[in-house]
Amino acid sequence: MADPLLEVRDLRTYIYTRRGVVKAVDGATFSVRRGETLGIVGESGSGKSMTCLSILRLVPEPGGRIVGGQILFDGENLLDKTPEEMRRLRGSRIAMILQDPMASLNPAMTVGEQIAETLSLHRGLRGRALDERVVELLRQVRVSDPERRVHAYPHQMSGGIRQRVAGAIAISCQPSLLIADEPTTSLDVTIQSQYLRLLKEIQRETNLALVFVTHDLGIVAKLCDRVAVMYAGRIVELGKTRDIFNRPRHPYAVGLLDCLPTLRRGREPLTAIEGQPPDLANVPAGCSFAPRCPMAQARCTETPPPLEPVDAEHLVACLRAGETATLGRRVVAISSGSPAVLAGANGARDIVLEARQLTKHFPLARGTILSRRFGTVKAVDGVDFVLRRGETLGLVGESGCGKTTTARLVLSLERPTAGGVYFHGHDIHVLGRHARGSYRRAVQAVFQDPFSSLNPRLTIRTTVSEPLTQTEPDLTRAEVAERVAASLTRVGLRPRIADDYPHELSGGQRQRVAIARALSTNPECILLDEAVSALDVSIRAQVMNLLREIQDRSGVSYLFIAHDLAVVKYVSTRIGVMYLGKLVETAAADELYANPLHPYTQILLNNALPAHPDDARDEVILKGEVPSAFNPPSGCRFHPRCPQALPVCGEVEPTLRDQARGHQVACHLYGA
Amino acid sequence: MQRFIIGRVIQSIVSMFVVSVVVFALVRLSGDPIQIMMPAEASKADIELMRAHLGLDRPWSVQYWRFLTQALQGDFGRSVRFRRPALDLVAERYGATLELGGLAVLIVIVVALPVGVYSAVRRGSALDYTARAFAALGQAVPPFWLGLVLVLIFGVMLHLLPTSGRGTPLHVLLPGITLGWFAVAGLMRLTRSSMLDVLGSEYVKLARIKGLPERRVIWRHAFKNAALPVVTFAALLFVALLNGSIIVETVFGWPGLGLLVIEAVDSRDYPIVQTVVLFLSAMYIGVNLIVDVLYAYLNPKIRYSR
Ligand SMILES: Nc1ncnc2c1ncn2[C@@H]1O[C@H](COP(=O)(O)OP(=O)(O)OP(=O)(O)O)[C@@H](O)[C@H]1O
Ligand code: SF4
Ligand code: SF4
Ligand SMILES: [Mg+2]
Repeated sequence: MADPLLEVRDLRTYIYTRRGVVKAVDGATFSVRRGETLGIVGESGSGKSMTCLSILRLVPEPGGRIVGGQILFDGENLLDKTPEEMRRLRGSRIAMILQDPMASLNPAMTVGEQIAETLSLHRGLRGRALDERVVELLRQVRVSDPERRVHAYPHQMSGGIRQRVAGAIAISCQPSLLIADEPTTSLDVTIQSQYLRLLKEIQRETNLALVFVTHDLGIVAKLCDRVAVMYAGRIVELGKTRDIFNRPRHPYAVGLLDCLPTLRRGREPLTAIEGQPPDLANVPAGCSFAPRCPMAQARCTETPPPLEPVDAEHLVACLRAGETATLGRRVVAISSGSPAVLAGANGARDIVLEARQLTKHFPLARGTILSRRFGTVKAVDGVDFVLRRGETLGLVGESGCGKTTTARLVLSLERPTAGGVYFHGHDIHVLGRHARGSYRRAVQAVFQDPFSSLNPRLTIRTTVSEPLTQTEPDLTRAEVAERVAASLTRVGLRPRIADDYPHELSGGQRQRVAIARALSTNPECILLDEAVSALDVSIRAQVMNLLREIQDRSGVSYLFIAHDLAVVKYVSTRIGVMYLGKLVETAAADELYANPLHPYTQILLNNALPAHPDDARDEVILKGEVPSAFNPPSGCRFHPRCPQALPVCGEVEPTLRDQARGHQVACHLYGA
Repeated sequence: MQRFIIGRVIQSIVSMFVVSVVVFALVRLSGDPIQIMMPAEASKADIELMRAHLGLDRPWSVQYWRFLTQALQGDFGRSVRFRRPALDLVAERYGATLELGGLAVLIVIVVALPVGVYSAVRRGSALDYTARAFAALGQAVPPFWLGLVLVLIFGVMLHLLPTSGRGTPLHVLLPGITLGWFAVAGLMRLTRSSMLDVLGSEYVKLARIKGLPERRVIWRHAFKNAALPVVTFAALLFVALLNGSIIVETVFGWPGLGLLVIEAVDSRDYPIVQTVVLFLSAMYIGVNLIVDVLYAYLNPKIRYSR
């Protein structure tokens, strides 16, 4: 084996805050060789980013300090370097890409200037040579029209392109180590595929050592040669990707793999890891996973278990690593109240909610006083769907496909341009006052971000009771209190937290509160707009199980909007795929995954992350970005990117037509 | 950008026109100027004669047109009290106010911006604590009080600086510092908090990851973005300075517009009041125009959305 380019040994980075010492990194050990990709996986707050920043010696000021360990880069300990030597290393020999492309580029500088900076600083390029190199770099990261784009500002570009620019900045000085901190987390499925492919190609061309940080095991399966599993500031398992997927040895790694919804998996409940990660300012003594570990023993709480080899190139930090093979899937029993509800014949169930030719166009106007209309954004353009009692309709699609506008229309926050939403057969946009009140009660919503969707100044009690007091003002205080407590209990929270404020809760708990709030009025339908997207895998599994359990018990219907196909599959009975304001395919969930018809659906499924390294398949990489819904392409909206486009596709718009087995698709390949 | 600037200039001209109408109307509504101008024992015929002479018997629209055309030619009427053209008087005082304001603005820029920036960069350092204590003090101490203290220390006790009137360059120091003080504290705090936001941003983190020298990170990457709210605040600051200048000029007997307008209001010298208000409005509208253009320059999003 070649010598490692980077070797991190027992790294410890503490942050001294008023709250106490946050042990953000508390024993990280791993290495990476040239040309190799090491994945670091872990949940939010486990110290992944802080590990990366420590390698660059950019810990947060004031308060952050690297208190122990070694970082050997190319044989030299980076912790012995002077600040000036470190600065010269950054951006030239070690580069890094940050998570959020919307925030990581300077809004006040053109992308050209931002790429040029490193080149003139570290490589001394000037004038023509500099300009040419910048354009060449943009071309290298496959940004179209680079000569024009160098003069553009970040806000004029989509997230995918911005992240390419960040990539161009990173590789500008041909570093030997690239650290990518969740670079694709905020990108769409097809754009993520493009980006991962690009990183791989760049790595092959330049023999980069790549450290890829992610919370998504799918990316690890697809991309990484080796993986380090991080929990509460420590690396708890380190080994070859295949070994860890085939035979995880640390109970946490076992749990993580078990709670991952995958395309392969059916609708059986996920094994959620109970509890939540510890507060890094207050880590339990001994093994930090002990409070959640199903195998914990008394000795586990004494000293932190060291990272020790169990196999060739496979290290685990667990006192009982030898026994974990017996740790089978602990199937958490879901009290499936009435399987009869699910078993009922599909067609016979009542239709709760229906969209008929639902359309929303936004006029685009220019000028402030005398505005001229110069176009229309066709955000939602003739969408039909049916949601039945006790069912879940999943809507998937990439950003800008009209999912959220559809949600807003259903919630009556927006008036349709044409068509309508029907609740038990009544158009919700022409309801009388009384009927509107009962609609508000019957249809509730849960949104994406558990951090911003709850008002920080209101207690949990006020938040949860709000829809109740608004729609049923006659309730007495005692009745309200009782209903709030009942709702909280239903989502697995202690009613005692009713007097807490949102900031005192974890992300998963907050999302439970949002669900409790939706449940408080005993709704018939809950709209979930990316409701689990921001949650960590183990917490997400808890919340998804909860959603299913509530449905099985109460027969509530869900309209579930998300971009993650595996998640949608896990909760949905029927699925609709959207592209640029149109529904392009609908089918029963299993049918859609087994037998996708529309080329876009096929690519979405193909691009979805694998659940196991052996699942890696030949990928179809889609050309280009999702076009804008303003002036969508003629004919089939997908035709400029469709690998199977026919001549007719650019001219005639296909309509949604019935195929076998309740499957509908809008594509000329399946014409008459 | 060009279109944006042209649009804003047109907007400013319209605003100026509106201001002139309002000023004109207010002055007419606030009382009959003839009654003030003529001696109490003047006969009715004399008053009528004077009224006709000044054109005050004509319809308002005609009067306004006359007022406007004359104003555009630099004729703002004559001061009732000093019996001199209002414009000359205002112009004399204008210079004094500009001198005072200029020094104040200089102090603000030289002190508030760098101190704000570096107290954010070295958050928690001695510099930061001193600056923040100073800012808290600055906002708690009213400017006239500070003015009096300065007069006591430097004028009365140390005899170092003149404390009243205008003449040598030394004269402007005390009133200038007093007026600047008024704005420094607020602007320093704003710069600091704005810098703190920006320093915590991902793009500043990226700038450091790129290995840029700290100076470049601070000024090129952070400050250019942090300056946005500061520039917006500058328009408000200008109003604060105007308000402050009235107090400061009174305390130090500084012969500027503030003092002039107070005297004029006292003696109901309406051409002067009218002229000063017009001048200040023009200045205010001008500053706003500059601020907006600067803002657009700093913020590409605005530049391109127009
Ligand atoms: N500036 C800071 N001051 C105090 N604590 C911090 C600071 N930055 C991060 N932390 C803490 O350090 C710990 C590790 O954070 P880090 O950002 O490395 O997590 P992460 O694994 O990258 O999470 P994510 O997946 O959310 O990006 C967390 O507990 C976090 O709260
Ligand atoms: S050391 Fe003990 S508590 Fe920690 S993971 Fe292993 S068995 Fe569980
Ligand atoms: S209609 Fe044509 S372009 Fe559209 S998806 Fe089908 S084959 Fe592709
Ligand atoms: Mg992170």
